[in-house]
Amino acid sequence: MKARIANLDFGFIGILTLVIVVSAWLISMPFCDFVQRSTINRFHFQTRSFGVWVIQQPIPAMYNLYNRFEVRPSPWKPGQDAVWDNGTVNHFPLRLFTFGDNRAIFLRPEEPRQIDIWSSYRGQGLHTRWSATPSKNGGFDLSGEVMK
Amino acid sequence: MSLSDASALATGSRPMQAFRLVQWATLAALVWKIGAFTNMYRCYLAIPLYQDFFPSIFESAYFLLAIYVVAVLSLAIAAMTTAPRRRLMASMSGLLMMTMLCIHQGSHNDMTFATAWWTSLWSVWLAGRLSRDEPETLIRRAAFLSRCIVSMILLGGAVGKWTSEYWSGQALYEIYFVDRDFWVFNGLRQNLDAESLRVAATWYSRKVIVIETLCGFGLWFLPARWAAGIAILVMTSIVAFSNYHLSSVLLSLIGLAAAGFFVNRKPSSAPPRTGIHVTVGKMV
Repeated sequence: MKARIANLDFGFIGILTLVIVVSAWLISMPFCDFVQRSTINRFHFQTRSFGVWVIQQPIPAMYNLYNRFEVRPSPWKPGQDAVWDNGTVNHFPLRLFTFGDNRAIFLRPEEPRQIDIWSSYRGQGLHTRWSATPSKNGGFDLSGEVMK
Repeated sequence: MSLSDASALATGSRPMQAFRLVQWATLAALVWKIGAFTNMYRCYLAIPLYQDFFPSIFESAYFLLAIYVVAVLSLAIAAMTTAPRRRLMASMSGLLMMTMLCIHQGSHNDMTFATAWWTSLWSVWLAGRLSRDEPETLIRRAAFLSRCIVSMILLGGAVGKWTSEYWSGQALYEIYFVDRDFWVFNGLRQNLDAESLRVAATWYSRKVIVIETLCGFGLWFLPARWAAGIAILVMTSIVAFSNYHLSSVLLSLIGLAAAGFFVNRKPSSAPPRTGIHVTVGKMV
């Protein structure tokens, strides 16, 4: 009995179980408010803790949800364009500020910026507003709030 | 079977070849990003972002560079070494680095690292079994696991698009058709009027949803070689007709899917018919 247990391929069983659990999570998404809300919150960093967000990160989410954004100068001054840029992105819409070259495109030294992002999925939705304000340490402080 | 005998048996075996192919493919996915990564690194150094949600180490550009470099080195070592223990350690290191790349502020949204995380998990498992299991049984199990993972990832892409905005084509119209500089969309914009372009976006989007859904539900139970061929064809077509930047996302998965080609057409003895067989007892 001990030999049989010792020879069981626990790694295989573990990965297969994980794949089944993630697949069940994905398949339930169109019908389950909790899964929809969790995925939307994940995209907007509104998950209750960093640890819970980390657990969700291996769940494949490419080109998920309908994600829109609007970038504005902050605060807006007369004569400026009210909306600096807007559009639709594939996933994790805050990446317009956080990811790669976008950071240099949207965040100019000493110029505060604001981005509104919306994600929706089958009737569920979330709108958050993020402000990037010049930090005393250099760079920007990025803070967000959920909009009603 | 002693460890050294098993190791000798494993060297050059089909599971070993599949393992090495997946390491090279994942390495290629990461190396593909070197140019973009260099630009990213410069931007992150010049414009740090402080966001309460992330622990400060996961906002650090230096830390991002370090985990990227260690990930590349880990994959290279795993692909080339002949020492089983070093191979396993390199695979575990690769998985740890992919985990951190998946949760760093500067890379969390890049699906390159999410797909590489799954191939790294598969690699850790296989690296741990190469010296223990009989090759023919092991490659069948490895191929089964690989197509389960590829199915699940494509299912993830499909489920997130089961919405009216994707079914109508509106989302992909705005992402790709309006102004994306890519041969498919440039050609469509040049040859179609605005109304026809919008209709093309609808059918393009529906095609994506249907293919990802069919593969998500169906790939895993196809025969190994069929699953490998179809998965590679689908993923290559996604890159060719959507966006070359997706190469880094899909290269590791293409390597993983190719594990199915290492399964023998005709079993030499009476191995399990599916990968869900769990080995018990002595293999030799």
